[in-house]
Amino acid sequence: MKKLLKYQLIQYRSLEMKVILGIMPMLTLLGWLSHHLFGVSAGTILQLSSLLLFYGVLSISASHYRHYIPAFSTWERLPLLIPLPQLWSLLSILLASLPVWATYAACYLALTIAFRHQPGLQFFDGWQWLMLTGLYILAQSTFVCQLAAGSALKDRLILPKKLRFLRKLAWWRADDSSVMFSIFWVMIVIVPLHSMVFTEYIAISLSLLALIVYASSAVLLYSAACLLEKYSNY
Amino acid sequence: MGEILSVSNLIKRYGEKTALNGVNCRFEQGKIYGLLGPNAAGKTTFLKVCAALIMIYQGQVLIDGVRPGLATKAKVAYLPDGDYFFDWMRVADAVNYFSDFFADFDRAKAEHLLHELELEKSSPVRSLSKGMKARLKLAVVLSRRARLFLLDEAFDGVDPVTREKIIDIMLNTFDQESTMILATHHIDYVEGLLDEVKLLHRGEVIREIAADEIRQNSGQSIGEYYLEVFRNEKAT
Repeated sequence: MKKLLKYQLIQYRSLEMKVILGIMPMLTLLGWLSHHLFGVSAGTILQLSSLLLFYGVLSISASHYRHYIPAFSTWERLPLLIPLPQLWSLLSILLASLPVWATYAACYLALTIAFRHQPGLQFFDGWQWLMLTGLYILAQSTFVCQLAAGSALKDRLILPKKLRFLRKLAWWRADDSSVMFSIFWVMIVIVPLHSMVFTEYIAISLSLLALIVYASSAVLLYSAACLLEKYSNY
Repeated sequence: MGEILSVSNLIKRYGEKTALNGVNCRFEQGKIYGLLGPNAAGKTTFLKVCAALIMIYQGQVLIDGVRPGLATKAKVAYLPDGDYFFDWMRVADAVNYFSDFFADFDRAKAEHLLHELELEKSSPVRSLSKGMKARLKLAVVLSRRARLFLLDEAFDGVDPVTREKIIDIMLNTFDQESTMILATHHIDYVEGLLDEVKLLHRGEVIREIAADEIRQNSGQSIGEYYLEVFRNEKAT
């Protein structure tokens, strides 16, 4: 596991990662300057920055997952050949996202300190942070699971000629942009809607929701690893 | 000699297309096999099944008595035809990666091969030419003391002089405990290496013959024998 994590972390030295990591504090600074120089409201800056910073987290995360794309297409990559369980590999990717989460938290903290005297501002509390990370793991696990299941089914579903066009639309088709699209879609659209439905309409407590999210994440992560290891097919 | 790989009635279909159509064959320890055939004969699919990259198939494949999977990955060294390394890697990272994850990796041999193949440790992988990437793949894979080597078009992109050098190294360092399967349609590249050839055509093994038998019985080279067999196949 340590070795897997080491190689996941080495990826941070790529230019793409450095740029995204660099953009996050720049955005924070820009937000702070906009408030002081142009009078943009602190609430707007906080919401906008949170969203943009989150895009940073997702972009970096997508880069880590990119090495799984070959598992569903025609290339080969080293992680699929090493004699280690795929579950470790998936866990190492999650752990490798910690530095970027730390950057996110630091930037957010900087904004909360800067705007601490602003009245009526709602900052994330501990439960919200826990939920956010839980939903992030859920989204990633769902995505890998979806790809692995799709890949395992791919050659078993023989479609009639008239329906072959569906292959072109198939949700298991994987490339760099589909990874980004899926993660953005899940995180930006589905996740907030999902948590809103639970907290607003079903009135479930945040702690129970967090428990459900983490339990579902664990099941999906394990399923994704099993599918990758036993049924991946490319 | 013990048997390292046995394949019985292996069938692999991609949708309606059949890539392997009932392959039956055995591979013994201490031998270098040529898995030869034209394009789309099923060579790459066969190697991927053995490398535990394709897990859904019909039939039985056993490596040292075990179905390809997590356990066999430690014994099998696979060199794919396509891309292999991460873009962020330097040559030294690729060597370290193999050293970290494969217990049978021989670092001293890797250092020797890097030197022989003129690979700079500090060179970024993404800046290497196709030929240099092929050299690096060969260097790291051949540095393992694996039980089974699966090399898919290993010499594609490698210049003739380097190819000669690598073949020399392979002949001199080949361990009698190992087995090597070279899948290629460039027979002239591997002619001198092979102990036995298996000809694959439309997903089936159509001939299995020792290299010496070809040379002694018909006085042909493996390349000439290959051409004769596949010309007849085409005619029928």
